[in-house]
Amino acid sequence: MKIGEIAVITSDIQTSENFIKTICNEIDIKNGVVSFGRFIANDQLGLHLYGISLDKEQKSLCWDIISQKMLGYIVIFNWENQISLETIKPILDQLSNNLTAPVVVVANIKDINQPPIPTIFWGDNGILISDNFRLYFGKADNPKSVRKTMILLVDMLLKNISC
Amino acid sequence: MDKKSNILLIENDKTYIVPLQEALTKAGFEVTCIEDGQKILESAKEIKADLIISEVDLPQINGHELFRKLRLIPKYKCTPFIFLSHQKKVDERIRNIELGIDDYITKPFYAEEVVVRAQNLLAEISHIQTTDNESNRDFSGNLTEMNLVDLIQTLELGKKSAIIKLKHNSSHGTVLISNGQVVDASLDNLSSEQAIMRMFTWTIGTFLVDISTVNNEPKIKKSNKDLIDIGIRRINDWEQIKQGLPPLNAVVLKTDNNNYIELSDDEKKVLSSINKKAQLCDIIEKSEFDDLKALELVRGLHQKGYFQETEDNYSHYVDDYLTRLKQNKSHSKSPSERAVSIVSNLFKESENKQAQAERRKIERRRATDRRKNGRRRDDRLQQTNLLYLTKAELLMLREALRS
Repeated sequence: MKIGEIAVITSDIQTSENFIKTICNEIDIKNGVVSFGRFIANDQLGLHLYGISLDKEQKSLCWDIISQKMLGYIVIFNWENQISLETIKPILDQLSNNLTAPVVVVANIKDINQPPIPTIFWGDNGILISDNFRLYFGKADNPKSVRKTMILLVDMLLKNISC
Repeated sequence: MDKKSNILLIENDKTYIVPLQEALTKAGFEVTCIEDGQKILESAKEIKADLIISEVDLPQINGHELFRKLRLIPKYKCTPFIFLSHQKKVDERIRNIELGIDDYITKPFYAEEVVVRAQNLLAEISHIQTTDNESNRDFSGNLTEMNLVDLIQTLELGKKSAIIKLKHNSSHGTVLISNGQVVDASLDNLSSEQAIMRMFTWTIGTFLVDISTVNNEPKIKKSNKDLIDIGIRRINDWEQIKQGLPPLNAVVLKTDNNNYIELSDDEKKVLSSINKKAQLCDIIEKSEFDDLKALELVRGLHQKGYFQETEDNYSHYVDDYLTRLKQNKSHSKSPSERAVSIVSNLFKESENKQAQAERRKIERRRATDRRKNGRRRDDRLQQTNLLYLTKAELLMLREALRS
């Protein structure tokens, strides 16, 4: 079986676990810092999702090892929480300076039906920030929203291949 | 709140019942308190509840079971539900959220926190209901994210005709746009121009844009450009004058300061319009002066010590804090531009001197290593590592995610 790997980076482990659980149905491994889940597309193809939290002590990751493996990154912050936003800043720097893999930055909102800005302004494709970065308003534990986030990342990968 | 919402409080711990009941009643809710969940099920038909707040560990029947049973009764199928519990374990909290409850508050808590959460939850639900009732062509949102200036600019770009309905505290206003041009506005008994000027300063509240034909005779003669210029100026002035004042939804009391000699005639007029206590926003809106002028007068009176905040302002502060958290500072950009600029700034702001120095150090080290060892693994990071999956596999993956 061919496997693609995606890192789900969040300011707290709970959000990444929720995200992975929503798409993978269950979390295979969790240890309070990293969580792991499998999304099986078919018997030939699957995705491995690694949830990484950026809680206080976990800011320095072995990016040189992780980045060689990952297809792309999903970075989630809480739209309503300034601290969460501050926590992910260094990681976005790391990703933008050192990597060229696509990144979907998810602004996690409380209610997907009440986005902070009308959906007509971003739609399903999110908002383009740079070639490899897109901002998307979503909800980390809403199946529809989580799938949209994943599709957005796959679309960015497809676009990179076509270029 | 237009009419009193009914809250059903299911709690068996008296240390929480009294303060909760007091705080909720004070906030304008009708509270029914029952200590036993089983009794609720027995008398479910008679009880009227817009929101249920329940302890998880109840005698006879626990909160989870009660929640499930209540959901089976059509009347309570969609009633918002908040759990209260001493249980702090994350797993337990997740379990409750998965169960379908709307909010979870861990004990001990401040009664005011429960009040604010209840208010927010009911406001959210009422907003969703309002939105659901409107046609699909509508869009709605929060004035904090998109104020009237933004809305006018957006509709002008598309040369749309629409009715913008704004809600701010208990006030409702309407702005009519025909082919992208503002033609009329209404709010209370104000003239069209006065109405739109007041609504420009509303940065808290909700909006609903109903895209529909507007054939009204223009009552506003100013061009959109002039209106927007004035609007932006008013927002800026408003925000500046507001600094140093408590949140405008705070309630203030008149103090015993009788030294009216130091007050101007206008300040005296504002002061005399207050009976004993009032919300700051009410004082401004009910005064005979233009809103900006009234705000300035209120600020003067506050600074001179003629107003004193009441002790029950905590919930207003929490409300205001939550709203401010969501608030974007810039008023001159479109929402999507704002969102992009926020995230773009994430990159710029964190690129401080220390980080720059660190990056230079790494680059120097890489260059040295390259000379010694050829290309390092770090260099390979610059290559996109997407070739783990082929295009066909990515398409397959996309399909699987869509299904």
